[in-house]
Amino acid sequence: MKVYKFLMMTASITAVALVYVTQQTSLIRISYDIKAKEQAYSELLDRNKILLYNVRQLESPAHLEKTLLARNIKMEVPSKERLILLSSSQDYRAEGYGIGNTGAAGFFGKVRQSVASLFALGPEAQAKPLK
Amino acid sequence: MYTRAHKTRLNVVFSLFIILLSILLIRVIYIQVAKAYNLALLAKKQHTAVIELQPKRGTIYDRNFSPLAVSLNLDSVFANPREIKDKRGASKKLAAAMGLGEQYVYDRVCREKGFIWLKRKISPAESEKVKALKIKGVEFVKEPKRVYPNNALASQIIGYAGTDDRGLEGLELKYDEYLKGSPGYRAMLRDARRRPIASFEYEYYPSIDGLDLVLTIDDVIQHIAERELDLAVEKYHPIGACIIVMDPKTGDILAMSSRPTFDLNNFRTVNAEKKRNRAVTDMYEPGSIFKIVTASGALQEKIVGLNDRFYCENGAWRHAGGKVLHDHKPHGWLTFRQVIEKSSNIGTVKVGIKLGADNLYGYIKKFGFGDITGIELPGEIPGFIRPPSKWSGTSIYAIPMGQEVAVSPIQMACAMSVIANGGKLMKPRVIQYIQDRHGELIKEYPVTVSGQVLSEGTSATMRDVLSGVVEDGTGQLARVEGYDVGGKTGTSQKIENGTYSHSKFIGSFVGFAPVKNPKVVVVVMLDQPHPLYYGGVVAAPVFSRVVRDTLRYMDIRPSRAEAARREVELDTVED
Repeated sequence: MKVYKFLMMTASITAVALVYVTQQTSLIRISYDIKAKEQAYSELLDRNKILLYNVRQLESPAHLEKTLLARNIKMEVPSKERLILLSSSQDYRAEGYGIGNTGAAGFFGKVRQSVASLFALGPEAQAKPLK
Repeated sequence: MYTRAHKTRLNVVFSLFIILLSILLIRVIYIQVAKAYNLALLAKKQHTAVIELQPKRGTIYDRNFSPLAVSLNLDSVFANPREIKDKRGASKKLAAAMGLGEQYVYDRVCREKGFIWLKRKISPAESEKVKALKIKGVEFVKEPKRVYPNNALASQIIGYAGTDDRGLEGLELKYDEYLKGSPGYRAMLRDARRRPIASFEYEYYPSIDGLDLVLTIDDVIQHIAERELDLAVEKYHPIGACIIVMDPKTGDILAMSSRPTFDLNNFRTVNAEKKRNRAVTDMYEPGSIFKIVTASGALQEKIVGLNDRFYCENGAWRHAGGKVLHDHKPHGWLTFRQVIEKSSNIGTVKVGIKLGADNLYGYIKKFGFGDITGIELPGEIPGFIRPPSKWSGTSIYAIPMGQEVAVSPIQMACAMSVIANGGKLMKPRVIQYIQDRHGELIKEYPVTVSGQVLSEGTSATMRDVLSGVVEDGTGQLARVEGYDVGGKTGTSQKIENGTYSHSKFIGSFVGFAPVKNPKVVVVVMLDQPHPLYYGGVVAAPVFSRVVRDTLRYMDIRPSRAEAARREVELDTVED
């Protein structure tokens, strides 16, 4: 009986010790994974920042102008008649220029509008001549 | 059988063990007591990794949040020469990948050291090339580098930060305390390979990133101003030049630049001359552009009317001071308006005499001359103006037309803003506010009115008079198609060996547009231009082109139909 008790206790202690060691090992392994992922994340952030910097360089007024000159693209200020103002479709409808007023009426028009509304995420941009 | 010999042998062995144990015990006591503190420290050092957390230096933005200065983490390449087997081959490949000399790299990898830098803060493209070589003993470490996407744009305003990411010039220097942030650290256990174990972190003090500066500069207007200034420099070869574009209603500096200039990404080889922000650090005799102060004061005090007539002595006047004062062209009787339009020295001095020394000095001070403007840029000078008690007998014949005074270009911009904005002296500002990484406002630099110098009526009258300078006077090359603009030309002689030089001049123009509701004030100054030097010839066209493109960019519609182009005779714009 005594031997049995001793063996049970030893087995229990060993099991607990093994669980503890496994837990600690897992903890350290997870730490390494976290560290590696942090490193990768940081690298990606740095890379993203460098790419944004490159974009900014390409978009700089000096670079754009140089490129336009190199390609012999001449730009000028447009006259009033050539200006198109982009406005949201809500404004457009409010002013009475909506699709409903220009031939989208009727059963098929309504169906088309309903289908279109399923895919519309926000106000549509529409062009109109500048007054 | 247990004999005496056995007993003796046992005693010897036992004694040996006792001695050995005693030695071990002494050693243990020595380690545990005498050496305990040092060994514990050593163990802690070996087990603990303290990682310094570098803060990110703040970004400098223009008014539209275009970055003007950013910090990037770039790879720095180092090597452990002892681990590199084929030193000659490795040197050749590394030199080609990083754009270095092969012998230079070879000399470095042949050193008897465990660590040597090969190249610090290399470009991402170079980094990719070196990584692809996979040479054993060549490693990378990330280091922050300050970079400037627009290269030379606004270089004297922004300044630059050095290798250690500390500001050395311009706003980078003056606002270093805000931009640099403060470092933090993490303390955690590390393994046998010296890798930190994040789960055993026991101390964490986070770094605080630097704050962002949001400027009043507009990178597009800055580009327009610099482009046109470069064209003028190319054409007239001045030894120096500067331009300021300012919003007269807020005092916001939209653009400011000086020539010569330098590339912010390559500042190490540049001399101090190119780094100087002439718009705030240089003073010069303004010449005729200073007549706006005399004229404004006389109108404000109601000492003259627009149609009062002054005799301009047909171009030469021996005044009471004993010297002869000249106009560049002979004029007879001119109205006050014409005196300013034609930029008559004699007429202006007569207006100045009517105004009186004390009044004139009072207006000079009210316009902000003789004091710093308080702009947030390093090295601003106050200029120079003596009080009437220290004037000589000839000062009253010189100061009204911009001699015997020294002003900075930023002071001239502020003075013209007084006329453009309804009489208020604005404190110029180049920073709008300081914010943290998340856009939270930390410090604001509000629009500040320093004082009311002129009444609304006087400033409107002066705008009208100055539009006449451009329409019919010396500033005709400053005209902008479709827009009404106003301004004043200036050509001042530089002082050489104590006398006014007849070969060295400063040509300048200061103006505003549109006349009815001015949106911009522009100052253009060229130091020693040649072969032409008149402000109306060398500086006014720069003003014209800058205003044309700036107003279009600001979406300010032309105020009148485009007039038929008028040919401008060169001698009508000499000043």
